[in-house]
Amino acid sequence: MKLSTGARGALLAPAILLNVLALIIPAGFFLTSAFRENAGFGQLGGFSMDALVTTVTDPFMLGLFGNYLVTLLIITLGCTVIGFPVCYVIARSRRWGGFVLNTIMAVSFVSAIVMTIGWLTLLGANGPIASLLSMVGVQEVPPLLNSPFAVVIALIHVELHFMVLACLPSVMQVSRNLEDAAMGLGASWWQTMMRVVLPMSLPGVLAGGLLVMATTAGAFTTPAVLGGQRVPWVPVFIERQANVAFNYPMAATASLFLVLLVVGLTMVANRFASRRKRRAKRSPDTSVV
Amino acid sequence: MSVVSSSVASPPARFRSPRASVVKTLIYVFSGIVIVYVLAPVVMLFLASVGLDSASGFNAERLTFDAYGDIPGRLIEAAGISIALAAATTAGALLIGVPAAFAIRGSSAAVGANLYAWFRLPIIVPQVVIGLALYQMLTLTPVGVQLVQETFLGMWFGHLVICTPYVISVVSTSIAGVKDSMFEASSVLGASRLRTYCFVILPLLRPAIFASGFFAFLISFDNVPISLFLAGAGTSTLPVELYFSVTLDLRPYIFAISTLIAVFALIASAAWGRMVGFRALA
Repeated sequence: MKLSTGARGALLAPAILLNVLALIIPAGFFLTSAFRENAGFGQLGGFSMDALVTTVTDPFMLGLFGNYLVTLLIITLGCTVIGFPVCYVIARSRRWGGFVLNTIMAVSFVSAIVMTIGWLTLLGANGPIASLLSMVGVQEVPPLLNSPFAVVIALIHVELHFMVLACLPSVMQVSRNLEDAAMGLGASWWQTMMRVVLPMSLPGVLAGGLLVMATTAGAFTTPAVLGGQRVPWVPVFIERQANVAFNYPMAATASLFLVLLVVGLTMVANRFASRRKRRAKRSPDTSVV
Repeated sequence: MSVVSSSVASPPARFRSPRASVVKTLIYVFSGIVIVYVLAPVVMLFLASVGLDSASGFNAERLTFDAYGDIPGRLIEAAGISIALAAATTAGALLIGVPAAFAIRGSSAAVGANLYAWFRLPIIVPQVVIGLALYQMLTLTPVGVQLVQETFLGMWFGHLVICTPYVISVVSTSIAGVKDSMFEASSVLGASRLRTYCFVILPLLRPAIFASGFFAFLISFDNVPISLFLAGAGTSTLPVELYFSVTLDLRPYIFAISTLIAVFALIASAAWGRMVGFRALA
């Protein structure tokens, strides 16, 4: 139902104002600090490309971003490899599907910090995994905390529900009749999955993967606690630069790259998501689920 | 060779061969592993809070609920602050978001899509950047510094900007689901536009408004990055206190209060699942 421009303007004004005052202006101002000189103790000097140049040339910074991106890819891959089969189970299993979905969603409602504390106990030196390893006979149990392993495991756990929610509509759209037809024509279960189900749910899976990547890229709490000082992670680096080193230009430069990365990923993800919607409109939904 | 199988009458073709039952078992095993993986930290939290960890050798006799009684006052205070802040954020997000959702749906498709993307921006930008940018902006002036250190206003502002998009998203989707005939019937029966919106459409949106408000509450309550930057000495929220205590001082009562939060979240999600359903979030 169409509203007049005046009515729309009045209704939109507070929301637009909020965005501008709390996001656009502060973020814009902050990101321009990337081009300022660090005058120490959080003060900003004049125009300078120092921070930017350091970020693209300094080996430490390149290592930070490189490691971060690799870890991000591993997490995204892990979420996809676990998430897609889980989606399939939820979509197909009448008995367990609801239970699996409810469990994953229930756990996603728990705050990140609480979940991270849970992982802390699980992976700690006193935790069950460490004691399990020592019972099996591993002499020197490697410290599981403050390692990329801990960050990857915990972040996959935290982001899994995003993947499941993103994939689920796509997988549910694949009609069960198609699977039965494929198997009836002699395909094995694996062939059916690889040749029928996966290609048809691909847009949803890709959109989900990119969404997970974009969300994980901005994750702070879990890598900060579980990775400590050791695991390279850009949002943690940004916070340390601001709160510990008081080096705002450096923090701003890293933020600039981070924002560009996330916005880029989100735009590509939306491209895939709209492709899925268009495909859904074109083909009739014969799903029996 | 089966060609047609009804999914109700006869068992599906895939489960007829012996090899397929191996696959079925594998699927169950896989699902079981995933469930264990998903629940492990929460279970571990509970076990740690009642004293069952490797340090005590999982000795059931050491089971004690003492940790729950030990929760210090400052954490309870922080919890109260978190709840009050979340409530204020929810109120603000609903007041700002619901009208905006109406405006989006009252626009043409192209304009609406652009507005929608614009309002989703705060969800996309990493919270660390939002929190830091707000902090930097607010502390430019002495008044701002005082604002951040002594009141919730800085935090409230930050929480508001990240929670409102969820309200706008959920409510505008719900408005799209309201049939045009509702508007038409109402105006045919003589109601003005305003009456239609207030007494016909808004009640229809009640589940969406409740759901998005609940979401906003949860996001504000759980938030760490923004609260980390904008919390003052006396206005620390619970997640921030937990975050600091993890690095400085991990005591049993930390596990206790974490378990309480986790239980609350699980109950909330069960209520959500009952009332709205999780597929609505897809």
